[in-house]
Amino acid sequence: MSRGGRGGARGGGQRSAPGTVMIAGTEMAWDLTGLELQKGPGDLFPSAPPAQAPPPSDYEKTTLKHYIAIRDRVHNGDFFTVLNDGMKTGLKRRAGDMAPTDESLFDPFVGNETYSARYHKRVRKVPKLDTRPFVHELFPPELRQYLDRGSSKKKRVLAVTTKINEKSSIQQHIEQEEGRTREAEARADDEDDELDEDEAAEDEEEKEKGDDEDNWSAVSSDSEEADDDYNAEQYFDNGEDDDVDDADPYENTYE
Amino acid sequence: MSYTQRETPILAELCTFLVEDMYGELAARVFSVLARFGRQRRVEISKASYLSSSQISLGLVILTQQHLVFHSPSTEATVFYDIDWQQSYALVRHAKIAHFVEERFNKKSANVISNLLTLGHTSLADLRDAYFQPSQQEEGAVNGKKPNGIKANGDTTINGQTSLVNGTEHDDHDDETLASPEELYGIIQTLMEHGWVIQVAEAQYLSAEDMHNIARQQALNDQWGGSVPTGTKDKDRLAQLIMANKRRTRDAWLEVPNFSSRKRKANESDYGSSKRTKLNGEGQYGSAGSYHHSPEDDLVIRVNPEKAAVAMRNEYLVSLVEQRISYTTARVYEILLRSLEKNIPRCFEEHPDPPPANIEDQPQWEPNPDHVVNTKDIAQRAKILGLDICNGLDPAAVARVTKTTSNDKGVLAQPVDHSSLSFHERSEIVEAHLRLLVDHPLHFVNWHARGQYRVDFDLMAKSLIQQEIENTVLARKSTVAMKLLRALKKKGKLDERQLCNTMMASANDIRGIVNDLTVQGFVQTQEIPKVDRREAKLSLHLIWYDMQRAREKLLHDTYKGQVRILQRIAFEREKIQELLTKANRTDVAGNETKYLKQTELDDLKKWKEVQEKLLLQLARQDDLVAVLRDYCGPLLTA
Repeated sequence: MSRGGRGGARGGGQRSAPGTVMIAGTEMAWDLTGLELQKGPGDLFPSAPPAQAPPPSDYEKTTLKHYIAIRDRVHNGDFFTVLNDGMKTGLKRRAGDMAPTDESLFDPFVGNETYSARYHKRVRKVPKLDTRPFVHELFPPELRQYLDRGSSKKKRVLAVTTKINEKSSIQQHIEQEEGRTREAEARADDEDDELDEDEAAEDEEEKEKGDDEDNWSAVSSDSEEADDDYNAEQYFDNGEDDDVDDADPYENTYE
Repeated sequence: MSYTQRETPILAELCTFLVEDMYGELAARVFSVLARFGRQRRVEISKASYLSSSQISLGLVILTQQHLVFHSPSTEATVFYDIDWQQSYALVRHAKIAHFVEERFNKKSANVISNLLTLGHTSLADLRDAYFQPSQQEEGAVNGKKPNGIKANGDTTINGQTSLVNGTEHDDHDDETLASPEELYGIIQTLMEHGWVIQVAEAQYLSAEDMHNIARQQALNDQWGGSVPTGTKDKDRLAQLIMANKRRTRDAWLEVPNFSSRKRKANESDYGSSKRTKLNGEGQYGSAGSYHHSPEDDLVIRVNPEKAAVAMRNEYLVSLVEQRISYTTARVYEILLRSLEKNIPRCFEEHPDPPPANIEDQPQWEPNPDHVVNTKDIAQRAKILGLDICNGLDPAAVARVTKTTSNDKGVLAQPVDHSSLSFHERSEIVEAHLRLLVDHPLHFVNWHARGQYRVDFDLMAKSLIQQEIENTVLARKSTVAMKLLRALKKKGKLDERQLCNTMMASANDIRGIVNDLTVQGFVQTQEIPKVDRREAKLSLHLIWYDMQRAREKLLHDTYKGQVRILQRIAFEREKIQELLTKANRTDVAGNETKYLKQTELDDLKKWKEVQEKLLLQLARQDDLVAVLRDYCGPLLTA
């Protein structure tokens, strides 16, 4: 019946293969024995990998660099503060809530002060306002007294940077690290020249860094890089090495 | 309340995160109290917060210096503080502003602007002293700054030669380090002329309400001697005057003062070639010995917060043209837009004249004469940039202009060399590019007059918003959902039956989609009872699409996404905090390879990658925010 009428002439031309049937131009098996229908419920949470954002273009990379540079500069500036008081917002605690105590904020694993704490970067709890000049007229009168507070004899000067593409500290040492890996690979290639190359690398590093490190031997550097603190033979070398640091330990502290 | 000052809880959260990320915890805590309770006095903030009064004051000093809060005029007895939401959100855009300036001018300008961004506002004298510390001029000689000046000055007859020496010796120095105060002033004047830097006035610290009250009082004093008018006509007149006053106050900030010490010609190239200026400057610097104070020292400047959106809009449009038409056409369009950029201080007028009461009086939409460009100027600029304008066009169109088709024997001619074209041919080819832009459904440009084209930004902004909404719906749902959105946009309010007819689909297919879109806030529904009881059967159920609402919903979602990103950054930082503290130790910083283990270095590297990925996403979402929020004002619906 259906073969007649309009589609008859064309349908006649497409005789379907034996055992199949043409439905809307698609060949389907007449025999459905092989077909498996899913009877149970589907996965409740089928795995759906999150969509990945496309990688940054060069343009976006430059913007990112600017962002990190500006932020690092503000963080190293006088306005950046870390309170570290266990609060999330500036709002008052609710009536029942206890104020966080020093004990509750103390981290027993890393909080115990060690000798090396003197090297820690000092964080400010209050902004330091006596280093830069302000335009007093733009502040409300009640805040103006804070602008002059703690004014030292020194002339107030704005902190500006003269380079915009300063690398962030992490970026810097990752680059150093990559350089070091390359050196290590080169060293592995020819074991014989090990000492020479090491010294050469050292020299380069020293040139970059300037003069904060003058006498430290290649041997002890190896021991530190290799992270073998338990090497008894080099036990004393290490001790000497640590004393060399002659930078002012109080340079980041308040006067 | 001002349109740009409306905030939602999610924006408050976002901005608090941004402030914390940039200025640390004290500023963010004070900010969060203001964000929670709105306009307040210092005492009230103190009451609502656990912080001590002096901590709050110091926090407010930071926020005021960075223009993140408004405060009421100092003439009044009590000072109220309020958050400047626009400026707080703009913290995301700091990097973009620096990048835009670097791209449009040069690295030195980018350096100046990024310093201004970190400093908030500053007086010009302070900025000069910071760059060129008066007491340290002798030390400058060691750095190699002074010798430049001396050399250039010492023998003016061989100026050309010395500059050559300078160029070779201090190559790295030259593109980033400022050589003299003159140069600094030059850069600031250029930035001010282009609207990137503006003057600071006390009125910038006024919140929208204060600003309105002052403008109103001023209008009343000028026209009615301080008493409030009563007639309807007078009230309309008052509303107009208030807006005019606001505009006048605001436009005064953009004025560029006359820089007395500047020798630079005004018509010098807009795109910052600073070679000549610098030589001039060095000569003067050396000869003067010590710098004499100039009258503009008292000028207080800051970065113009509105300009970034203008540049972002241009970048967005150019990238759109690049996707849809071609690379070369996009470059031509970029030239066109950048030539306009100088004259556009902001994307849309925030204080327009109020619309007249009756519809007939409504003024016809008029093209903005500031947005018109000459084809010839673009052709000229394209030549300077060495752009191959013959690319990206139909070959026949190029051939028609250059008259170099196939010769008689049917052999094709050599490709046209773009550098050998005459000026006339050049303009014609540029015009062919512009015609492509005119013909595009988004109407990137419009024909204005012979040889002149115009960009109708405000008409385009609506299509851009619509397009972003459609993109989102398409990504979340299906093509059918997008089709439904378009159908509703065209037809207005429909009931289900009409909608089925319009969509040519069955009710079953559509119902689910309508529900989803309604829940997500892209489509609105309305129920109109036909009888006095409220009964589903006897009411009309209408569905419609409101672009303004969909826009705000999407904007809200985007803010939320940004909050999630910032939370994620905080979480990732928390995970690695111990290591970061170690890496920042004064003895370790700079000697990481010496003191840190391999695994720690790997972790640091991973952290950096994660952070960059998240910040990248933040910047991209900010592009979306700009499209949805900054390119045109609220869309009025009937």
